Amino acid sequence: MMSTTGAGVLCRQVGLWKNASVAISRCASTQTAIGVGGHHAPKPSSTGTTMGPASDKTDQTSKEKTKAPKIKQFSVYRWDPDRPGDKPRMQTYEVDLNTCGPMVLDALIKIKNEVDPTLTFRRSCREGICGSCAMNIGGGNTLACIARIDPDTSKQSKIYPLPHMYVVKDLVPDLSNFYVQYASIQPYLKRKDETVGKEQLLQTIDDRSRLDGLYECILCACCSTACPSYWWHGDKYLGPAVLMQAYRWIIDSRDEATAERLDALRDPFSVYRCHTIMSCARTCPKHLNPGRAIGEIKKLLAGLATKDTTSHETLKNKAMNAVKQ
Amino acid sequence: MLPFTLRQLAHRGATQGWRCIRHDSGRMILPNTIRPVIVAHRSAAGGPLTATQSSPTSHGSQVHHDHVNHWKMDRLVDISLLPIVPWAFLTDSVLANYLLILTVGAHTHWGMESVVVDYMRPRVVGKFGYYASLATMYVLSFATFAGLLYLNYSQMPPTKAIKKLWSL
Repeated sequence: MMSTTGAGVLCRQVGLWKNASVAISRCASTQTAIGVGGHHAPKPSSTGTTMGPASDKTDQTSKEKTKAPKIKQFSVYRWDPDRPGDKPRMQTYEVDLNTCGPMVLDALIKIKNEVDPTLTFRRSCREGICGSCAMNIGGGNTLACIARIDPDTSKQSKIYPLPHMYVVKDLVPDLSNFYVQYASIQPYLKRKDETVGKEQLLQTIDDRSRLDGLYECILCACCSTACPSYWWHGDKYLGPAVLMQAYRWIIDSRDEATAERLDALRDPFSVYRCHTIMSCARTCPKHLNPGRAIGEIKKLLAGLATKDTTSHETLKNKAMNAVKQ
Repeated sequence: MLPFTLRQLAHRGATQGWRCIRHDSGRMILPNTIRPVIVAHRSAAGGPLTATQSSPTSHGSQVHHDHVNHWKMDRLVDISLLPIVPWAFLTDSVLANYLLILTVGAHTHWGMESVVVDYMRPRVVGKFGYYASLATMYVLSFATFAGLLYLNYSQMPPTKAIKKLWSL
């Protein structure tokens, strides 16, 4: 039972091709796992019977007993492609917040462990750095692991997969197109000579600081899937997340493919479908601003701004001269 | 540079990626239901997947014309509207109104063109629907433009006409 439960959670492994590491298991039985693997289920009666040093514990359990349960309802999007003809539906789960962690991901894991092992979602780091658990919670795209559960138990918490994406199962969206678009902007250092990997590339402090607010992106796709333009033109418009990474490589002082990178974005769709709606910046769980990066790309394309960085060679010559003197 | 090219990446998605979806027993469980969705997705994705090259010059746009000058004109018109609108409304001068008609005409035309491109997508309304709405939009834009020019030329400046309407 335990192994089934573990494999059923979609874990994202490190790597560009996240979907390749997706593993979905279908539970042999739809019976819940309560009691079978119930390592999380509180059993106050059994601890109550133990003697001696367990007296503190008995106190705790009696306190737990007297504490009024805070039952929060979670309404979760369910769709199982394995069942022919299955239609997407909302399923409501009840979780006692007294015995649950503070974040929405804690509640989802609790539901999966204790109530319904068929519930499927991606999660990995549980601390907002892997981007696996991006989903639509309470109407906004965010990471389940850093989204607090609204303590107001009179309201349901509604959880959907990332909007306007193909769904693989339950809360798991198909991000294939997103990753292919990311690969298409060539997110790696390009140089005309063979310096990559052979010597240290020098960079001024100013040039380095221009990458701040860009490199922190974890590619969770919250922003792209919050963008109406990306909803309508996800096939041709690159979307805020990918464009911010495009900008990150365009203005990297060590990259020498700037003109080539910009030329690839001149068509009416790759960049220019951005109408500065700014949902991207509003929803970003890392508080980045992809909308600004897209604006900067437009300025660079129109010649209203220039890259204006100091090259590695200039810095190297400077350093050599300084050493000579 | 990357450990695999885009073509390989797309290929992986179509084959190996989904082979990973297995039942505990090792039996493949998804292909019949998932595959068509994914395949449709891929063909809908058009450029990035079917026309994948390792050159960054194809981001999947069918039309490969340069949009940069269009964007520049768009911005210039937007900025010029800022002085032209108050100038035209304060003076009701015929010259200012010609400029107003030109800039407002271009501004609304491009705005509406964006609306058509965004909401009347070939994927949703079909190729014919898309081009039909685009043509209608062009006709309406031209009619508005010509009508305003005629009003300004033979009757009164449009700004004055608006004021008259309000004074009724």
